[in-house]
Amino acid sequence: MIDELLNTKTVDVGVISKNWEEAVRKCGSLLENGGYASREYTEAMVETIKKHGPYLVVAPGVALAHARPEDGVFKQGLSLIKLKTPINFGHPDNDPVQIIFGLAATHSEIHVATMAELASLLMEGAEELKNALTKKEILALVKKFGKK
Amino acid sequence: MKVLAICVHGLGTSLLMKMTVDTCFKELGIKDVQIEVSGHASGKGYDADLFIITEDLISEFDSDPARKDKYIAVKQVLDKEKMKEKIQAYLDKIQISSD
Repeated sequence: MIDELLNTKTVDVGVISKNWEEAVRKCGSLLENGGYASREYTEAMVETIKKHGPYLVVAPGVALAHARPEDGVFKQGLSLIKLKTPINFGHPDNDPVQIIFGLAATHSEIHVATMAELASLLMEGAEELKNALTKKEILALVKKFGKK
Repeated sequence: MKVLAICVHGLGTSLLMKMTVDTCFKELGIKDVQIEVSGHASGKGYDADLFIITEDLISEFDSDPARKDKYIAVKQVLDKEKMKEKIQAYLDKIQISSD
């Protein structure tokens, strides 16, 4: 799943952002461009963080941005940006963030399976992910954890 | 034993927590555990023996007499070792032994 959803169009590296909002919007625009979610969904991802706080930073240096399916998801999607310079989200323990996943979530078994693969990737491959410098390296790592 | 992993929406962090919790119970040798996920505002968020929650929900749980002694707040949702410690401590507290 994640090795299909994460591809050269939905992954970007060396991303420059002034702050977390801009970074999350860049993540969202990858989902928009791929037809996974709408501009409103990207804005909802930003609003969620403003409303509920920086708990999307699920592991040291790694954030998972998402909103609800009804906020504007067209189909299950996943994007990933690696920031050129890490950015703080205000999380008490896991800042600064270098890897941001954008998740277009759906109420479906596909979503549950996607999250299971993402959990494995982050549990076992987080360090490798943070060390990867190119899209190619990231996609090779993702392939290890994806199951079609 | 019924375990409910809760985060704000019930779609993201809670599913990651579920994976970690699942692995923890397996490694602790405890069977007969059902793990589900829920958003914090969902009506589903009441029926469990143990709640695993994100830290932002602590005050909501502390102010609920029905749930304030039945939760584990997790800082690192993917840290298996820390979560195992917390689960073991909770189980010791309620004195359940593994089968």
